[in-house]
This record gives sequence, C-alpha cells and structure tokens, in this order.
Amino acid sequence: MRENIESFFKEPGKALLDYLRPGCRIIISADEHHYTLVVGESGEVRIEEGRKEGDIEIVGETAVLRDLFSSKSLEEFSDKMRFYIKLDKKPRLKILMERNVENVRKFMRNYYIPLYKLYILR
Amino acid sequence: MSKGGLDSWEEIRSSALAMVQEAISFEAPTEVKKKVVEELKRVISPERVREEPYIRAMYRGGGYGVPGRLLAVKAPDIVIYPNSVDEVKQTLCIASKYRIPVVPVGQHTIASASIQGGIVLDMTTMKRILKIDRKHNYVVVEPGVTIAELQEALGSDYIVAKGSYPSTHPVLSSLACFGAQHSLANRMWDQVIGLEVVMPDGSIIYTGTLLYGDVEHWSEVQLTYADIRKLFTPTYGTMGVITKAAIRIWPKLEKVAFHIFGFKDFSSAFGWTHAASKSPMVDQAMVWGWVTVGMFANAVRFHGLDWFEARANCDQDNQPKQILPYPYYAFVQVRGYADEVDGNFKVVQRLAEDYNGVYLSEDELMRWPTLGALYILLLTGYGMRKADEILSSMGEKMLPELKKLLTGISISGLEYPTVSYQFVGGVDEIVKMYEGVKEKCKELGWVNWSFYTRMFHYGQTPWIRLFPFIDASSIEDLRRDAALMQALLKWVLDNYKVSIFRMAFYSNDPKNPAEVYERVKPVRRLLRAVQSEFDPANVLNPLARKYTLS
Repeated sequence: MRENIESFFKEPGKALLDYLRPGCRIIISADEHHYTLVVGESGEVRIEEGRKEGDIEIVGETAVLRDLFSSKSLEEFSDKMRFYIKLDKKPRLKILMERNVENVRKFMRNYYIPLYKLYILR
Repeated sequence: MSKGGLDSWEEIRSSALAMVQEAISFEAPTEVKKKVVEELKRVISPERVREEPYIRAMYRGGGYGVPGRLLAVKAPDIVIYPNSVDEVKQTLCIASKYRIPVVPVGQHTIASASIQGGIVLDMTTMKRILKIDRKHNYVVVEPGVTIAELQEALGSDYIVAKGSYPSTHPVLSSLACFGAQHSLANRMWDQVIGLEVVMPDGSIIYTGTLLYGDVEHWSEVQLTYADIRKLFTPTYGTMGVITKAAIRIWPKLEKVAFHIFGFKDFSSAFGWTHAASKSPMVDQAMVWGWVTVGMFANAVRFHGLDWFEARANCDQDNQPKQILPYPYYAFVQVRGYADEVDGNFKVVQRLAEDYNGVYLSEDELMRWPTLGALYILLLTGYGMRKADEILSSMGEKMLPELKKLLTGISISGLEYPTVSYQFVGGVDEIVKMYEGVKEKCKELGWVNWSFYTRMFHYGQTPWIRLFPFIDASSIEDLRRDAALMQALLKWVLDNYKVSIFRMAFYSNDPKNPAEVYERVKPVRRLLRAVQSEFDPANVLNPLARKYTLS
C-alpha cells in the first residue's frame, strides 16, 4: 500500500504534484493502516508509515485505496473513483485542522485543487 | 428528421458550432466599414458612434455556458448609442443597405452581446420613463430604464418584478427577452402589454396598447385587433428592435410571507409545492436541496471547514446534521392583504401534513445559521424587505452572524457554480428524473451537485435546475467537466420526457421528434416570411443568409 501511494504521488507527469505545496500533510487511512504524506520544503514527497500529524485525512477501504493509488494516470484514477462513487465506496474526507478562518484559507490554498483533482471534492 | 438524427448529439453540436464559426467569420470589407461609419456619423452625433477597440471589446459575447465560453467569439465593429427611435431607424436602414449584422443590446452581460461582429445597438442609452399610470397599473418606458430606476420613480408602494435579476438590469430585457420568469409570475405572467418596434427596413410597428397611441384599458385592447406582441417577446431581438414598451406594474400589498417547510424526500417536497401553488395567492413555490441551501445561503461562511467536509462526503438524501436539519426544503412566497396571507398560511400547513412536511417557524429558522440566512435571502430578495425592517422585527432572536448579513456584508453566496442546466417537464416526470439524476451524477463523479425546482401556477410545467459544481483549476479540467455535463444532458434528454428550458418543442414527444419537427415547420415558415418581408438583408438574422429557417 505504501508503495502504491508513493509511486502514485512521486511518479512524474501527474499534474497533481504541481499543486501539492510544501508543508502539505495528508493522512491516508486504509482501514486499520495509516500513512502520512508529507511535502517537504523543496517539494519532495515523503510517505511515512503510521498516523503522524496531518491537516486532512482521506479514509477508505484498503482494497479501494490500493486500487485507486495503483493508477498510472490521473485519468485512470478518476475513472476508478467514479466507479467507487457509484458503489458508495468513495473515500471520505476528514479535515483535522482547527475550525478557524485562517485554516479555511490554508485549506483553500493547499488542498482544494489536489482534492478536486482526486475527485474527493466533487 | 429521424430519431437517429436527433440522437446524434455530436452531430447537432458540431453543426451548431459550424454555424457560429460561419457567423464569426463574417468580415465586412474595410472600405465598407468606413462608409458605414461615415454615414452613421452623419445621422447620429459622432460621439455616439464608436469604433475604438476598448469599447468594442465590452460587447464581445459568448454566452454563459461552457461551450459558449470555449468558442472564439468576435467583438462588434461599431457600437451605437442611440438616443431616439429615429436614430435606431437610421442605424437599421444603413445596416440593411450594407448588409451589416446588428445586435441590439439591452444590458451589459456576455449573454446579450455580439458574437459575429457588425453593429451593436446599445439600447441602454434610451432610458426615459414616458408615463406612469398608477390608476391602471402600467408604465411606458424605453428599453434602457433599469429596474432600480423604475422602482425609484414608482416609490415603495409599487413592485417592479425583478426575479433574480439585479436592479441594474433594464426592466424590459428581463420581461421581453427572457419571458416573464420573475418571482411574481403567478399573477403577472403577461407583463408586456404594448410595444413599439423598429423593423430592419425602417418601418415602425406598434402593437398591444401602443397600437392606438396609448390606451389605458389594456385588457380590452388585447381583444380588439390581432395582438402580435409575442412575435417580439421573447425573440432576443431578432425580429425587430424594441424602442418603447408598456409594462404592467403591481401595487405592493400589505404583506409578503415565505413559509418554509422541511422534507425528508424530494418527491414529497415537490408534490407539496405543486399542491400549494394551486392557490393564486402563491407567487412562486420552490424546492431547494440542502446543498443548494448551503451554497446560496453562505454555509461556507458559517461552517467553514465543516462545510467542505460535508461537500466532499455529500449524500443528497442525508444532510450534515450539525449544519441543517432536513435534506430538502420547500417554500411558498405569498403576497396579499394581511388576512389573505394569514389564511394561506393555514392552507399550506394543512397541505404539508399530507406530504409529511414540517413547518419551520421563524424561531426555528433562526436557530440554524444557514437556514436563517436562507430566510433573510428570501425576505430581502424576492420579498423586497429592507434590512432595518427585518432587524427591528426579528433582530432579537437572530444569531450575531446573521445580523452581520443585514449590516453591510453581502448576502449572496461565496460559492457559485458556473454552469447549470434547466429542464422542464411534467410533475411526475421531474420526480422520476431527479431520482435518476442522483444515480447518473454519481456515475459521472459528481456527488455534491445542487438543484432547485420552481413552480408558479398549478398545472404550469415546472422546471428543475441542476448545478453540478465546476471548480475547474485548468482548461483540461474545464473541458473534461464540460464533456461530463454534455453526457448528463444527453442522458437526461434520452431517458426522460423533459426538455431544456425554452426549447420545449423538442420534448413534446421525445420518442418521436420527427413529428414535432414537422409541426414546427409551418410556424418557422411564418416567422421566416415576416423576417423576409421586413429584413430582406437579414441584418438581425445574419445566420439566415446561409441557414434558412424554412
């Protein structure tokens, strides 16, 4: 699973990477297993095992997330996502940040477009 | 035309695009343009005949839809600001002489502007209120008079029907060009009662009350001679250019009220609006899903990140319970003498019992920021109630964030979807379609789309307006979403007996469009004959040069 997530986000050619800004921290929870995606200062993506500090969390079934993150392109990802939406298996979004105006701005700046591209915010 | 012909969506789309391409490729030779400008400046004062690029650019059209925006459209070559009927007449005569297309513009929006070059007649400069007759409830105005200007002239005792149009919108263009789709349509369906129209050959046509000069008893006039008002409303100005109109107005009655009910399912909410609108007291009745309420009533402002979470995990039938108490909301807008309005309140409550609707009192609405904002939105918008009036009547029970909405901060939603489709159809068919669309949208990848329905009179064909959110961050996203929306549109038209709003003739028998098409033919012939008679050079219908309507 970790490899799937890693290769999905690290693979060049996915426009998604351009929108993940330094400092982004996303927890991906596949059933009982947690992975934390961290975008470093120079834009490099690091996947850490376990549930670390994060701003948002994407929660889904292991089989669904594994299938989604094994996609070779964003198009493939969105096609699969539509399939899972239809089955009512769309991964859920949890926003872990404290509720304040500053964090709404942070969410819009850092996560809105990547989540849109991943079909989570549609 | 066979069903197969209409089925081929790509074919229709590409032929429409070809027609637009044809139109925008029109180019008047430079020397002709020069002559036209010279002649125009001779009859209209030169400062009102403009050809500077920065002015022309303001009238470059394209429409609201994604396909329209993606089209390369062309700015007009000349912009005219007429001051009188005679100047409109002179412009049309010169345009006819040189076969230059003319687009009359009644408002400054991209939907109304030129896509094929030529001349734009900006009618907003003709803005005199020629008559106000309070006794017989009508006014005579020029096309540039705005809703706000007429409202100011009439004072607060009268209502100028505006619907969702901004007050800066000319009063005539919302009524004449778009049909009377305003929020008082139940009792003010037929608003435009007289017209003065300049035809492209320079002749002037008067119809309705204006046929006899100006006749006060307009209801009788409509019965005495062929009433051809509908030839010009709504035709988007392609038959002639309206230069004067008599319009009905409505005295403000004692009370306006919005009775809002919560429902657990769409079908009940919609059925209730249909039953409630049987009463002529009801101006309009609508159903809003919880996403629509949140979107238009500022849920993002009140709930911030919770709202985004709710949108991401959206289920149309299960609202986020911390934000809203019901998944579906329906309301009626009622206006009349106070005791009539109170009586109607009892009626809609009784009807709601049959549909399992729960009445949401003012106190209840105010407990939920988003519902409170919806109520304020309805009161200030359709209800035309003033902010200080609302504050003094219910300010005490308002949450502080709701008070802020009435003390300076804009009421409109922070989010707004860029594209929507409106469908009309029978009551039962719309319920079926709604349930189908829920599944189809899932398949297409949209879960947080929103909608509203609207109904004016009992028995009137209601409409449903769908808003899939399009927050595209790039042109690729936009193209992809436009393609998905087209897929949704085609799927709806193929599977339900509904049609796109204002294209109703396609839908009367969608399984047999050929028959409908045949029936429409003579009507088109008649319209074409009128156009040929008065507009032989097709200046108001440049596409007709190649694509005849018959």
